[in-house]
Amino acid sequence: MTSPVGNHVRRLRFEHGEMSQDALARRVGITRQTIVAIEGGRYAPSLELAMRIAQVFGRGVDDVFFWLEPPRDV
Amino acid sequence: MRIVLVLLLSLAFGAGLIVSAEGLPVRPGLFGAGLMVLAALATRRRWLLLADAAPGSPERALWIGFAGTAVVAAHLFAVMLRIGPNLVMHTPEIHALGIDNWTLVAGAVLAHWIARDPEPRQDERDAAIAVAGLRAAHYGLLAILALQILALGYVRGGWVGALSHPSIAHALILAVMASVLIDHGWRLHRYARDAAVEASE
Repeated sequence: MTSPVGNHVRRLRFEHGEMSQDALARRVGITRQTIVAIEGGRYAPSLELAMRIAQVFGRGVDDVFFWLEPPRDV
Repeated sequence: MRIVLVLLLSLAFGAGLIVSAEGLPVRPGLFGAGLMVLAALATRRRWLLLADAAPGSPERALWIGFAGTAVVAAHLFAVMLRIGPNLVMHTPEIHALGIDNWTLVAGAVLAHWIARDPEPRQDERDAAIAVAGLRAAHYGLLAILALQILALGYVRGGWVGALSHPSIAHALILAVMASVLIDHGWRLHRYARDAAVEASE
């Protein structure tokens, strides 16, 4: 099951001192497995979680998350 | 595969406590609870060694709950088979078997406490997986209850026709335990699927 939302989380982690998945997970209060699922495109986070992840990298949500294929009916 | 293996082993262990009761040095409930605690200690040690590769907090609780529930349910089912359809409450034999079953429940609770994540963390993805598991358990329970209702309503005579009220009540308890197994099994399958994808990346 692939999420329609892509992200740059893996790249941003490495750009921020090669932050580990567990370190990021702890910063935003989730499990390492969820970070793995998000990076692998198997889970699309809620808006709140997306904002918290973006905040860790000092970016906006749009800089971290993006549509892989925008929905046609919007 | 691992989920099915743990389920089968736990069911066999729970039922085996009734079959091998007379050869045990202590009450089967106490023996079973002791082994559950030992298994929990071994599991906790293994998860400690796995460090980052160990399952997350909810998955750990699910594994222990899954195995513990299977042991208790299989023991209860084996008790019901042994007693037969005419189960009568408050006899010395039923009391002894009941105490065994509750001792197993206590063992499962203790095992859960031993193997729990010392720093529990769960998040929205775990909640989403839990919702999927509960939905599967809900429909599973409905299916089991429908079968029980049809059996009670349409099967005359034989084992089903001779079921006493306490037997029917215990069959309902088993149905609830089966739904817990469906919930835990479903959620563990979701976690296992994610872990398999992670390992292949």
